[in-house]
Amino acid sequence: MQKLKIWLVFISLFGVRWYFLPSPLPSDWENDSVVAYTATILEEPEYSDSKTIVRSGSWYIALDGYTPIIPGSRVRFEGIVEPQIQLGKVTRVVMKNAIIKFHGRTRGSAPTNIMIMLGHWRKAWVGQLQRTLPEPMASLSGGILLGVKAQMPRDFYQALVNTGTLHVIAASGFNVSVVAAVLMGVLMRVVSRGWAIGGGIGGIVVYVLIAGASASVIRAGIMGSLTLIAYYLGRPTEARRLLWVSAGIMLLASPLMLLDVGFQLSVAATAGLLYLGPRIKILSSSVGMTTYVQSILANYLYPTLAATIATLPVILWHFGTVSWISPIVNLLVLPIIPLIMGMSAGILVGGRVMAWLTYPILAYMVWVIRLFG
Amino acid sequence: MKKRGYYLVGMVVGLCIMVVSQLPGTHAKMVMCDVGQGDAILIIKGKTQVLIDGGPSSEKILSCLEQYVPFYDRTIELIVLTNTDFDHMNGLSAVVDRYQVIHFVTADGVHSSAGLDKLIKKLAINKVIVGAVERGDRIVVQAKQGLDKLEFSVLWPPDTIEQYVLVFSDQMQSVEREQILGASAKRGDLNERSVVLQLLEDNKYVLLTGDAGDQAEKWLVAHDSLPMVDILKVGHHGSKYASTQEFLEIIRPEIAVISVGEKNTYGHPTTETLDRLSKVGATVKRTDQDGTIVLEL
Repeated sequence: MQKLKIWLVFISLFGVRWYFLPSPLPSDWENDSVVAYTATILEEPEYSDSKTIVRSGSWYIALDGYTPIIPGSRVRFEGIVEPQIQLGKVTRVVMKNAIIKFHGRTRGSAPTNIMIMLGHWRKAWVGQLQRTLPEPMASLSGGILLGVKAQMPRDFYQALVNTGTLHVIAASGFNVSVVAAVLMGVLMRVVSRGWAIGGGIGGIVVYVLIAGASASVIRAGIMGSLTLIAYYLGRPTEARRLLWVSAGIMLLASPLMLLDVGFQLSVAATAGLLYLGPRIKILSSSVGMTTYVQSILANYLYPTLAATIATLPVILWHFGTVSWISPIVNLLVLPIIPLIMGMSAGILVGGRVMAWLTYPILAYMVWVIRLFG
Repeated sequence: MKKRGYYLVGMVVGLCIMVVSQLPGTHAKMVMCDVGQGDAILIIKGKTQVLIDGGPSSEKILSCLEQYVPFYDRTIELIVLTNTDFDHMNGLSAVVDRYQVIHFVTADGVHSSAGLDKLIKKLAINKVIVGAVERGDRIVVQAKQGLDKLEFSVLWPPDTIEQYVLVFSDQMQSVEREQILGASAKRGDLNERSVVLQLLEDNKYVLLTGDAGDQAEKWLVAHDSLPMVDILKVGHHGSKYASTQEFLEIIRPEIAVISVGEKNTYGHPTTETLDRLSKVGATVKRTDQDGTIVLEL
């Protein structure tokens, strides 16, 4: 009864927030009206062969040709826009052939400067991967480690979609949850619970920082760490509650998040770890395996499997098909994802030698995905 | 500790297998990358790699390099840009960004484009040595720690205006660059300023013609003692204004490769050119039909 009351209160609060959500477009906007958008650019744009692409909040802006924009610049874009509307709200605004006007550099607040610095770092890291690995291994490791999917060869991206493995690069939430779960699982066997939790949080913080600390990554990090801490403190019920409370607070703070694939995947992956993880463990213990094999599975495969199963419906919903090969491919590649993440992070420090060691593992993953995709 | 040891051994074994499987053969290889409508030719000999043009998109050229350059070799000794048309140039920015490119050479057939601005920036950031080539130059390419040498002769264009190639320097003011590019573009058909290279490798002649057409061919026929060639990179994607009968009669290519996109809007390769090639008995290979073409030299 009390649960129902809480739900009702949440839904009505959310409804009110949703109703009064402001639109990013002016109220007198029509199909062919020219819209202006001014923003401080925090990260260097992406450059395709013929376009410069700027992403800023819900805006996706494409400029013809090569237009360098230094992070920290205040710029104004003008052009005709195509808004994407979901459930009656503008979730994304696409401006093609935009005209750009520079308004100089802003002095910038501390958070802005930190974001700019992280953007620089991330660019340098992606560059390091690109200089040490060939394609598509470079963009695969960049996608898995940093959630960057720009510049991935189209045929390989399609192969990821076909094999139902796009989530390894599409959602940082999935990665955060899996990494933290694996890290804690392993650490729990070696050090005390307190240290293991510390290590898990440390891992998440490092991940959030190197993934550029964008809103979506921070969100996934907070949710993942809160719930996992509670879980590993031996309070699974608390952990589950914490997951829904943190998801609820985030939704009230930013209602459009409800439609965000990354958010949905984060929630689904964490829910999978908390609800399905223990069940898979019970199921498998009845099959009867040696304790050594079981311990490996418990630490490594089960979290991955649980997160995968839970995210499957979300992937199905957004990416259309989940083919019959998807579970097989996921099973073949997911166990190595934490390893690839760790080693890709190693490339940032260890350079070329580390890249050579990582290459065979990435080549294996590329091979599997191309074979089935 | 034990487990970690297994991981490391596994990785090292994996690495060894990958290295051995990607070791280049003893002979030089010419790879005509399938980049759609455009040109990108990779020539490999041992540790030495030369890339002639980069095709229209970074994605296609990078995927070709992934397939044919061993993963542990991240150096390309030389890039030759035959001309600054986008279908030869646009893929190069990504190559310069991702590989250590030692030298970059081109001639004076330059014209302004967004792709050129980007390439200039990337060359400067990555500190690539840029040079101009002209008829009579000999280019010897050798990897730093390798014995394998590739030798090219530059047959075309004559009298490259070095000032035009200076647009590749990022020291130049943009106003001055625009003036030069404007002046260059006024000289008529810039395809005729394409770099034409001849490679002699293991007694085989390879002629790489870029986008050069009938004017360059006519001049070469009149002034040069052209050898019979084993492999011809057909000029300008098989356009009817290149590969004249007179020219083909002299060089009599055994294999003629055409880099061309499927269903391209230019009508390349033209039936006229294909007829002329078959008249001299050349075996024609086309990237739109055969995909990436690999020829042992």
